[in-house]
Amino acid sequence: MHGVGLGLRGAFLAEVAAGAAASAVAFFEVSPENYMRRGGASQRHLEAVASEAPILSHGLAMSLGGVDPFDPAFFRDLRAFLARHPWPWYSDHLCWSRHKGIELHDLLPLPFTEATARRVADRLREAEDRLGRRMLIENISYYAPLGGQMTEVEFIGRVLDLSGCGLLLDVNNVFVNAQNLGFDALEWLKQAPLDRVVQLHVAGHEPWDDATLIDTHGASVRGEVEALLAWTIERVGPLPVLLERDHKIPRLPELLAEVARLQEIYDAALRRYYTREREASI
Amino acid sequence: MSEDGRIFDAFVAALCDPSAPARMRGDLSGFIGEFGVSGEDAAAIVEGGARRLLMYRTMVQGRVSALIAEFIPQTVARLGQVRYEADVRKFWAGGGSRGVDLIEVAALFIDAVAPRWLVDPAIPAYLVELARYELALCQVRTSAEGGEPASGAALALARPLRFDGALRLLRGSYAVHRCVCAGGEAHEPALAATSLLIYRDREGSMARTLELSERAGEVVARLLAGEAMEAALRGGAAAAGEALSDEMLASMAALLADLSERRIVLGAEVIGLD
Repeated sequence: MHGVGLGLRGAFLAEVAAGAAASAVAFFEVSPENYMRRGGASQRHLEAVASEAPILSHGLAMSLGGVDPFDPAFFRDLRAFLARHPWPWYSDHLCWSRHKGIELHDLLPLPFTEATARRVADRLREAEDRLGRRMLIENISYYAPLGGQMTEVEFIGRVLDLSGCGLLLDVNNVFVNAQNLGFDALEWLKQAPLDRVVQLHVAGHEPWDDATLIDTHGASVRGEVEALLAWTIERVGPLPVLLERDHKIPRLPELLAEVARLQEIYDAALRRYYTREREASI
Repeated sequence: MSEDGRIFDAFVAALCDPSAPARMRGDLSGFIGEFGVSGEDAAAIVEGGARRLLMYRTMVQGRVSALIAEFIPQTVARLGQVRYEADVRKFWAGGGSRGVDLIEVAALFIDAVAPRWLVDPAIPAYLVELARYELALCQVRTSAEGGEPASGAALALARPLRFDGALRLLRGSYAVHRCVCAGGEAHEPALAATSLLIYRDREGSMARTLELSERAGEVVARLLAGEAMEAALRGGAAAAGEALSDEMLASMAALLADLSERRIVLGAEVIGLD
């Protein structure tokens, strides 16, 4: 399964369940935390969507980089959700979000150190064992670097090497970090372990102030991010690409039009990928 | 504690501690040093500056504040945004959010503010009840329970009842259900002993509210606690200072028939091997 999918959100869940997006997206992605301890209409709507389209699951709250022990009840409920919506992998973020029991509901940065990489890799393997499926980690947007001997891209590569996990590459996060922290996004991608990429995310961002962009998922994907997406697809080949939209959500037809535009970019990049493959094999 | 743990301690304080912004702006190195963060880690954080850490504080507190308000909008409207945000800041200072599920976080917030609101003459006396009612509507609407099958056993005086799982009984002193979504205008709820049975309908998965008499509320509370029907009826009558009369039996029979029709009551509980 590959192509451009859409993050399924409560704002348009009922519409999609009623068939308003039939065949317009390659897949949908949900955050299980929004469903796995819930019932009622949203659960019924999700089942209706799942009967018509692939559903990928992408977590927000595992706190993979945290030092608190994992919550067994959380994993029990997540495993039950994934049994109902099976997919070969499960993704969450390379970050921490809970400490000493306090849930901060944000994706917070990690120090880029060898010790942290080893600790996170251990937790990733534990998460894989608990869930019985492969884990992907997503690179986050972060606004306060916490230091360490490695660069972010080196740190990600180290965690992937130590854990054997895959990478969910968010190209908008790369762009936002590059703007905020003063590096070149394309150079970052050239150094990234693209052979480990299993899925891609794209989204829009907004300014916090004159000096800082925030990964709000509250705007359309910008041209610079689309270019990074195309560059990446041209090198990694067919993969699922997700459009995320969490704030200022427009009407569903507008979102589907953005999915269609991204699909055109994806298709063109994929043609270039196959051309490169043919040329390389000659 | 690990180095990461010390950094996270400092980060949590930066996000939650009321005194953190002033201390961080004044001496960021000293602030993180209080948590044992030193050397290269401290240098990297100080180089990033307080502004970026305080951005996280604004984002985290603002996000959770907005999400809690979505569950209790009428409560927040009556409280006022300024007081609400001040209470959210106190909530964070007191340990704040301790659950992944934001409905749980909203419940923790109400538990945290209730003691203050109940004694504050500036806060409407009914506000805690209104908040709990608004939250109960969300809890019932999204409950993982509900929709269980009927027991197949006829109601019997010697047995408890089986109820649908998506159900809350709220008993209070104000008719707060009448001030929610009343034509978009704010109404002050009447001071009156009130029993509200909130359930989820099977068709639209909407949360709906049944107002029960005080006597019926007492009986339903006992039934929900697992008492057999006869004990619940006698207990309810005694609590109301009444004898178990034909009038009360007829009234309760009509109520249980109504609750059965709404599939709130799912028959008598089947116990043991019978």
